Amino acid sequence: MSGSAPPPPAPSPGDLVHADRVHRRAYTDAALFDLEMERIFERGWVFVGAESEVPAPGDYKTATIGRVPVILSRDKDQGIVVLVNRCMHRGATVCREDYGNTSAFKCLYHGWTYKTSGDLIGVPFGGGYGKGWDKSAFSLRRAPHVGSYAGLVFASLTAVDVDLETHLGGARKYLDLMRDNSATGSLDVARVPERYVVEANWKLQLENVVDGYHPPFTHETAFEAIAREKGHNPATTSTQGSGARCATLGYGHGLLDYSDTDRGYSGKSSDSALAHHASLVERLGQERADEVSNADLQLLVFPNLFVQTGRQHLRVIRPVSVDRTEVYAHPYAVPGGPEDVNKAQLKAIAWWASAGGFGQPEDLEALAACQRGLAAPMAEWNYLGRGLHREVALSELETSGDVTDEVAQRGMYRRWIELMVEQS
Amino acid sequence: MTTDIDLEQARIFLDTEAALLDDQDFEGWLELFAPRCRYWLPISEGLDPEEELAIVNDDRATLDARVLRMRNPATYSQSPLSRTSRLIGNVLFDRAAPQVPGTVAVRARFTLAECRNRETRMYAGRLDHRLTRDELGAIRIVEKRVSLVNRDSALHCITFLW
Repeated sequence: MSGSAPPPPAPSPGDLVHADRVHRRAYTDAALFDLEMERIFERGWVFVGAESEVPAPGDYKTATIGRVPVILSRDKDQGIVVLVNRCMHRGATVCREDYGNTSAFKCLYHGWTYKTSGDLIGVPFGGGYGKGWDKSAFSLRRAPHVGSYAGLVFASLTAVDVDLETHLGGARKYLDLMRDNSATGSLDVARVPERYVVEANWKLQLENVVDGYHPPFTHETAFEAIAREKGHNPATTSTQGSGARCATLGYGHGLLDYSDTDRGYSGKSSDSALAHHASLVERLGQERADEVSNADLQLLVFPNLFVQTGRQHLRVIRPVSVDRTEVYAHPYAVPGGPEDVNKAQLKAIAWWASAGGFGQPEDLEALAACQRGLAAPMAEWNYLGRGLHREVALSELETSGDVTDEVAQRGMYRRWIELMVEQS
Repeated sequence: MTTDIDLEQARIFLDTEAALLDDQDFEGWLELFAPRCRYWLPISEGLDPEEELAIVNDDRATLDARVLRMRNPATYSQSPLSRTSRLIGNVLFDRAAPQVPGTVAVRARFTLAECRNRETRMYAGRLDHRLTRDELGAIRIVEKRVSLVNRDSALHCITFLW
């Protein structure tokens, strides 16, 4: 019997990314995907969930960090902790619900029981491991670094090179706009998300959420539907020279900023929105209140979070395999914000960011088409050079260009190289 | 007030509706809906479309736009159109549904095969129709709720009509 050849080694990440292009194998190589999970997701800051998803002591939700199942748990004594969802005895996930409230996590296999802080408190049938057996060595593994910003919880499973605030880089300025819009300083994120499958590599999904070039083409018929209803076609604000911007914010984060356009999303001039704005003026002063109310942002927090303020929702990007990604899109309410606008988001998210919506399905179709095309050799590179000659550094962290330019994507891959090569 | 729709009529109505969809007569299907209506696919309990996030949550205007969009080849998620084949069964009056004057609540089960780009997917779930009769006596849909058994899974494009 002749043994099958061993799988080819992962290509060297440094060979796959240039300043204006990315090699197709970055999207198609399964060994490289494993390396990404290890070096990007299972090391460094990753979004896990929102504080509002676990508001009370004992509340939990399950999530993943790369390939690792985790529990975002609010312990009554220790506050928010992130636990590896894996029994230290024989490996079963100890929490099998999406979310809930509990006093303990009890493994279904042999009944090992852990506090919501992860401490092992119960092992059935005492004495089975002899004298001096140290139960505390078998507590659930805990993410050593957990931090929260604007109510959004991030964690790292291993050491981090920078603290959370540093990691958020130029994205903080935009998260602060969202934070200041909220009476509590947090976003009230819903527990139940839209869930959909992208038949493409996770990085294609990341590129897409900060791609201001594709909307008039990919979303032509959705925009026509909006135009028929509202008399304003968003395609006119999604074109070159519209005043909207595409920016990179350091550490891989990216932004589409439509604040200086009017995309025609509802709310800004309604009675309730004006009342909310008046309350912002009182709290923040006129200048900051105007800035906050005017913000129309699509923010990518590398490597797995996207927040959109126009339709109030965030998306968690979950890599599954080299050619499959899942996205969970959670609506959020702005505490203290206009109630009718907050409520309208449920329908707005279903309308756009759902597998049966008017928007997302065309992105899913486009990204699957990319993945199919990238499978082929012959043409080796994806070209991300648009606007390279005209991008402008606004600060040490932020470089900006036209909304149709690929500034954010280039920034993403600069971070990708740092994590995949320089820190390995 | 009772509405003059018996179970056999409801069953024939549901079968006719399914045939219109599988025959891709979307405009004919749209005519089955009342001028004020809801067409929705819940994610969770499916109790209150105003308070829950849903996969689809259309009023009549949005449903009109959805059908119009199906006919535009630039709607890439339905270009080419999905071919579908569905079986409706277990049709019953829903005695547990709230009583709404002038309407009847009908529950049923469905299985549906969808094929697009030579890929076939199977779906199944529960259908809940609230039916009424218009001024000419024709049966019309006031509400159609499609509760997929896999509604909380990550879903592929499901922009075909249910």
